[in-house]
Amino acid sequence: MSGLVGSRLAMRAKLWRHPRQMVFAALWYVFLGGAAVAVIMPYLWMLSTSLKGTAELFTYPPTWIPRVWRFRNYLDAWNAAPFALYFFNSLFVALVVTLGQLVTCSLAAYAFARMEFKGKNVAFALYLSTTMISEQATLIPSYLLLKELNWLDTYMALTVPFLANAFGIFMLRQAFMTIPRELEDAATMDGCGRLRFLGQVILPLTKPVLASQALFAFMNNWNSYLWPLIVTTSKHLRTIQVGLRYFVGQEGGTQWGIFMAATVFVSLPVVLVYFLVQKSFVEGIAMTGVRG
Amino acid sequence: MFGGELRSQCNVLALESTGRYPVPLKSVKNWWLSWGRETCTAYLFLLPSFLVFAVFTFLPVIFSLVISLFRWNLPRQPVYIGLDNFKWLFTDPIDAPAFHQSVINSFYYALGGIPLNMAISLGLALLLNRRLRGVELFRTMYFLPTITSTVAVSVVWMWIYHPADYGLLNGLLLRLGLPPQSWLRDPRLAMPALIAMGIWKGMGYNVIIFLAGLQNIPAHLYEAAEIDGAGEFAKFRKITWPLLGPTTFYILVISVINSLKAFAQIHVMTQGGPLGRTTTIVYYLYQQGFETFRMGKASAVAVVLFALLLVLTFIQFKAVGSRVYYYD
Amino acid sequence: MRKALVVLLVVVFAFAGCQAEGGKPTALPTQAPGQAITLEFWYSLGGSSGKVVEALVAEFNQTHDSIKVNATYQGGYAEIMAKVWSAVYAKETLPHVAHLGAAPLLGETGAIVPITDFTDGPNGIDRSLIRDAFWAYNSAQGKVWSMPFNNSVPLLYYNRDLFLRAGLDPDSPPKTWKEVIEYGKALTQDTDGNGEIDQWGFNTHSDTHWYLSAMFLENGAQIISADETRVLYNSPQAVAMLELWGKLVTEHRIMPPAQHNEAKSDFLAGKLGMFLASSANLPSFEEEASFQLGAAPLPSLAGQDPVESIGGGSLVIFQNEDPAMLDAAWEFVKWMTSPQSSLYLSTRTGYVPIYKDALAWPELASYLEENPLRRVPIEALEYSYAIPIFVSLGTSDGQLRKAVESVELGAATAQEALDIAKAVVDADIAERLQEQE
Repeated sequence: MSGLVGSRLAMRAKLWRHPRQMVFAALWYVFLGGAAVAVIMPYLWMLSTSLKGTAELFTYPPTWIPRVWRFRNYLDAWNAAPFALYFFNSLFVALVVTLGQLVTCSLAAYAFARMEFKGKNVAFALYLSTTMISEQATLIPSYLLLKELNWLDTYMALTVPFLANAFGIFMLRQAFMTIPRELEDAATMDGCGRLRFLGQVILPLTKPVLASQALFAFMNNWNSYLWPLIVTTSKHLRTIQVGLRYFVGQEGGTQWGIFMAATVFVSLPVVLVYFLVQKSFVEGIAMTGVRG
Repeated sequence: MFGGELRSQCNVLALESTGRYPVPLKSVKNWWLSWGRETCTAYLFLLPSFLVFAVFTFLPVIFSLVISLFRWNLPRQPVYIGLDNFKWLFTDPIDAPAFHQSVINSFYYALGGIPLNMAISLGLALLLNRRLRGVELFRTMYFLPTITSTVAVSVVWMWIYHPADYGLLNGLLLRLGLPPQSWLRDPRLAMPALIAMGIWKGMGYNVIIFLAGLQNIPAHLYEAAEIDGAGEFAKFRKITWPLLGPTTFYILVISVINSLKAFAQIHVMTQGGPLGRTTTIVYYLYQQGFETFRMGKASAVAVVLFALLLVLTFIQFKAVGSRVYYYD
Repeated sequence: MRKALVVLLVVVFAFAGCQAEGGKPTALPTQAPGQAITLEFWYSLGGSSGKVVEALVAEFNQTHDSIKVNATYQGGYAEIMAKVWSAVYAKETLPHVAHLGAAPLLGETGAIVPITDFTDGPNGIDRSLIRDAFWAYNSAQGKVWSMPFNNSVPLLYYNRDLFLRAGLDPDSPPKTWKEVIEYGKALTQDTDGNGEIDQWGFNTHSDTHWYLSAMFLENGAQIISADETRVLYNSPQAVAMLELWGKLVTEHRIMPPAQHNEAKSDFLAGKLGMFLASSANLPSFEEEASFQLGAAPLPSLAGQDPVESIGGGSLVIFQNEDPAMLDAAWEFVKWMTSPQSSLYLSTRTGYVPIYKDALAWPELASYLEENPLRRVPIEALEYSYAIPIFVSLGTSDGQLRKAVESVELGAATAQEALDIAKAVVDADIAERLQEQE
């Protein structure tokens, strides 16, 4: 890794020495900047719309900076539904799922990465096959199952089904495989249990991967809509995306500015979490190596 | 109870054997003694995730398989009809063409989006694999669409694709003196429009994965190539591309799965139209299950989709997976 | 490994089996005497209309000491239907009262009590005070299952400013489809002269099946055969109306093809002259339109009356073993649909009062003085009509929307499109009837 960074530093020094390299650097910025603008534009539009009154939404040419800033949209959106409760529920559920997934996925990933056991390949294939199931296909069977478990309309229904994730197991497995075997043998001989080895050696070494998996788990859960709506009926269990749905009227009457304002504050927490972990993000995925 | 028993047996084994691979005691004929200590431990480690998968994925899937053999139109009781739902999917004069169209649409979405997405992502990753000022900012930005909910993103993109002149894209076209289009409402353009949004949404993830793959390629290989006088293109062709094989393969597999599972954007933006041109397999399944509540038929579609994904993934592993170069 | 899997599956199945055996239909807890009864109420109106429903419930709770209603939003009509139907099938806990669209479809499940059991009972109401069409809208298989609550009718909204600019009289909006075409031609314009039409004459909201069905009826076509086994969508009268619809796009060019999802924003943007949509939009249009708004009843054929087909949601009461709970549920439904509540709802939303004599209510009269546009949907009720509620309604709506789309995009003739729609819906009805036996 250090050699890698060294070579890049050398590359960087080289870049600025030569006028031709400067042209390259300029092109580099043009390309990446262009792509960044394309990526960011819909977000700017979302922000801009969230601050507009209806009259201004439909003007040609479109205005990017609202003529009248309607910060009230945010207040109206927040007051339209019990969003404080929804935030708490979503946060609670997403955190439980995230922590739970980290535990179950680390355990499974450890087994797949560092243990030899009978049926390993079958089990791994079985695990990976879960990624091929679409939510729409299993919604009703899952609902009926929850009913048998008497879990409908409980926090259990919102959390337990998501406590394992094959993508997470796969990524963590990749990361765990990069840790030298020798460490473990020594540990085993010391009488240190595998569990303790996992907790004390492997997890601290793979923190960035755990962080990136945590983000995915958090995001997926935060953004889910259909499942929480179908399996809960009580107001006090409702999550944030159900709150968002409330803005879309039945026979008509969606107020776009307010709806967009709600979309902004509903999306914000995930973005914040992302900014918190993004430093270790690429490092985390690099660690998984994706080497099959 | 299951776990506790296992654990105590494993402890016994742990006491009796010393090596890493224990020698089973001949006198004990218990079937799972022969598994060995490591196998016991491994399954204990798998137990929590396995329980969750078993109850909330495998069981519902088995359930779906069973339901696909029934005519079950909610809220009525199911009636066993054997393979009729599958026969219906492939031979019914009205529904079979619609289902075939949905399969074609799904492949259109996947084949139209994946190669382009991967090419753009790889290009951006190569550009990002430089230590220039701002690299982290760009990387951060590209990833934003991946973490935003598809529903929220789709709503914004409907403004971009709005057919009137105040739609963002049409506004731009008009300024350039080009004719406006009705994007999502035009049978020819609707799917390309969805694909374009899909690329925007999924690119960030691929970029990060590619970038990670690039950073795992040892620098000394490039240095050696430079000494040999290799140009940028030669370095890419001889070193980057082959060594990136596993990464590319991973992205390919994941992209195929995710493309065939795409749902929310279609639900929000086109509802399968115009003229059914954006009705993918999953959307067709949704229409059967949740618009007309035909659970048996929806389950049959689900089974076909699952089988299709399994076969496709298998083919990918056979055709591509065996040829990627593994660097250790 | 495989054995473990088998063992696990057996355990889970056995567990599920035990539960299923012991699990009777979960009735909501019955009430101890003397305590206030708590009713669960599911509703499906979001946005500003949802607020009005909540206000009504709060008012009910305040004025009733012995009954407490717990109201919970459960998504739109589609989502609440999915929820109720799966709950009915799974014998999962249902609410006491629910608000949903196409409510009479629940009748055959046996999960709800016919509303006539209450309306015609000792604590009943005089059903003749409510318009017949509303009762028809809540009937299926010869029984009235649900109570009309929030109902709307299609209205032709128009932009008075654009009418004036096009030399049309905003005080005499088109009454017939022929006039719609004439007006539409005058309104369809390329205002900035760049060769692209940027102001359209006419469009409808995305629930095209609703308007098309009404148009069928305007031309004397029937929706469904008397025994409710076949839809009659490919009758000459029906085909003629879809042809007329298609010509709005292909021949008269006053409507853009297949852009119903965007029509509302076009209208609010002042880029659409006439817009066919539910009266439920009226308050939001009044608030959001930056132009002078006009509204008229659905256009008709020359010399004929319009057919104002009813839309919207109803209230249902679910079965309960405890008569006290049923009585309480009815007390709530009765209050929610009383003239006072109907007045409250119709002056705060675009839904219409369900009572025949509403226009004679002094409170409503003075309200209409100040809000003359609100008079339009109420007066249109003279022509109100209920499209029959039959088993394949969901399939039928989807097929009619498809037919409209194909004709607008020139992919099929009206006859071809409706032949297909009829075939699909008939097959669906046959399948659903077959199961019933």
